[in-house]
Amino acid sequence: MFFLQILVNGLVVSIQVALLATSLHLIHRVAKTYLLSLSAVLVLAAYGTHVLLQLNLPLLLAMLGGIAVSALFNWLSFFLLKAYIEKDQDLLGLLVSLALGLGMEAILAMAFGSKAIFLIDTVLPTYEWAGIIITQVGFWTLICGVVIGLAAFISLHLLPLGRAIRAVQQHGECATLVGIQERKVQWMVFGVAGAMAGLMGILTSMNTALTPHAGFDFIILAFAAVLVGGVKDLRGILLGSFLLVLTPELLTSFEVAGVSISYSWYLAIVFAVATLVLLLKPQGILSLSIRKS
Amino acid sequence: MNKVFSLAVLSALLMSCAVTESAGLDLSETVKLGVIAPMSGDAAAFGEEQKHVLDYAVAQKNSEGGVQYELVYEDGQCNGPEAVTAFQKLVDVDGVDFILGGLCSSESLAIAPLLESSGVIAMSSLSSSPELANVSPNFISFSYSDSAVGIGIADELKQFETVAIITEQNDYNTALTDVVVAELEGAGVEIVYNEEFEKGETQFRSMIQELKAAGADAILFNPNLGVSAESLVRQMAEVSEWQPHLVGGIVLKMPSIIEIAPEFLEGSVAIDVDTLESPAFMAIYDEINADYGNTTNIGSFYVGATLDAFLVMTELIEEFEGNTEEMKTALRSRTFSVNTGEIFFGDQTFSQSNSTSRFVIQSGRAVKSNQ
Repeated sequence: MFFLQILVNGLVVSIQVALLATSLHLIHRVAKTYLLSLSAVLVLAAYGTHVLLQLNLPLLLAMLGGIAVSALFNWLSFFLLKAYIEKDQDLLGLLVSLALGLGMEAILAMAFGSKAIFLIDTVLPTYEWAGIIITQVGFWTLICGVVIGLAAFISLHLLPLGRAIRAVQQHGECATLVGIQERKVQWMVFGVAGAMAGLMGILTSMNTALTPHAGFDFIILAFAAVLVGGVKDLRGILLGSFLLVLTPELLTSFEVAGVSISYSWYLAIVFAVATLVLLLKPQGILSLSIRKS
Repeated sequence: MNKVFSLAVLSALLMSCAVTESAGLDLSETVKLGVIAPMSGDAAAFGEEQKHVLDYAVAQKNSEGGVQYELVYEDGQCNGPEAVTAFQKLVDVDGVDFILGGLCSSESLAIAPLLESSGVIAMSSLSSSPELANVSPNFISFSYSDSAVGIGIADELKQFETVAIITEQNDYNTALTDVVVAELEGAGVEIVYNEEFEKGETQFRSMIQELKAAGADAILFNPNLGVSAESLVRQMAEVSEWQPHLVGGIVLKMPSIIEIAPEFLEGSVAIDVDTLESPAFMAIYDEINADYGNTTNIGSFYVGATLDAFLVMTELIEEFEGNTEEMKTALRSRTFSVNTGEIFFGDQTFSQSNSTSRFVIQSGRAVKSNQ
């Protein structure tokens, strides 16, 4: 039962990282750059929700408002990064997006202060089943993660939208020649990715606490998950997210060969796992199956 | 000519590197007092409340006429590197020779080695890490040492057979845990779980399950005030049918922590210095809270300690016209009659005279109880 409880706790965090990693992946597909400013997007959505809650809006409406703010900020990011994307200057785009994210976090810190905000004032209500406890926010995080993950997978592989994204990813100019509007696809993906990151930020902030720099740890984990999973493979990225979160979660909760590993080693374990996977599978964790197909 | 010029420059440089001492101030001009405290970050509540007290103190002092004082606040962010930056700015840019701070032990530990060479005297009112003991002849603290609180907490925990410990990784909390562990091991109490977490951590659910599985009779609850303490209480309270016996320091008796989950914390015990309750002091305390801002998190003792630091500093500045060497001698040899009692430092960092009290959380409040 203890093992299952730790697994459930780890799955909630894994889903959070997977959502953010999926956003990074989608943007990389159409823009060939890693939008590290997503770290600011997720806290911006949470602060937007907080402001709307202070104005006594119902929770769902406040969340929708927060998600809208995050999508808008991501569109702004696209507008600012367009020039680098067009010239295939992906490294410069990455650096500019990092600066944009850090700048937005600094603005949020000035506006709201560094003190933590709890979106839900009270102790979180929980569901309990067979001795396993999960907060209601955690439960809905799992549900959202599964739904969005399935939707992303289906869209990318089965729907015309997915074909359009893959076409833009492979060659934007040729895609335009066959009637796919590259710019429109990019705008849409940035908006959707921003909304996903925003939703993740709101759920995470509800489940723990909101501070201006809370997104930074998650973007590092999500970025590592993208590298571990293989930049172009969504399945690998999702698997990488679970691997990078569940491994330290389990190692720090149980004794391994009589040795108890402290929680302060969490990030060290994440990067050790990432390094090991990349040494063994430099193209990504599922790269072998990609080559075969 | 070039040789002479070079020698002159070299001499000037060497002289500027010599140990400095404030030889005296012109007290007809406003005297600047530096303040290093966390004005942002998790511990900002402490810094803001201390500011309320100091603003009151300087206003009262200046209204008496005589020497005028100005407080120069710098944000130490409750961490060493920022405290050093704050110190350098105060000393090199603002030209202060007297500092009220650091507030946090990590701030004081960082600036203490710099004081003697800079000729600066620092007096803290809240720093309490035992590592500050004899750290610098230019540093004293009006707080108690965590050794006293640690011993008090350990005395509370000795009545149990098994104890679990959860500690935030910062100077104050780890020093407190070290004292408690040493006492408990000496008393033969079994420590079944001992975990540290990073400063500012907010995800505790797996750690809490481990804590629960350890099945200890009591838990040393040792985060610092801020997001970690609040998150920990919230997430512990989520676990149904589990009400562990928590024992902690000042954080556990803070209203901002108790109000998160008062039923969950019912019966928890906090060990802290005694409150100051004399009518004369309470009048000052109420005036500060009414006119300058809330001080309920730092509590009456630390309000008193902050006022004491300000009073002693200004008294010595005026008596010795800012001569720091003479001020140091007086600081080490005199007994001061102040809000927190009769204070004598001798060659120690901490006053010899503070004692702790036991507070039990009852009906959402920390109530003094020596049972």
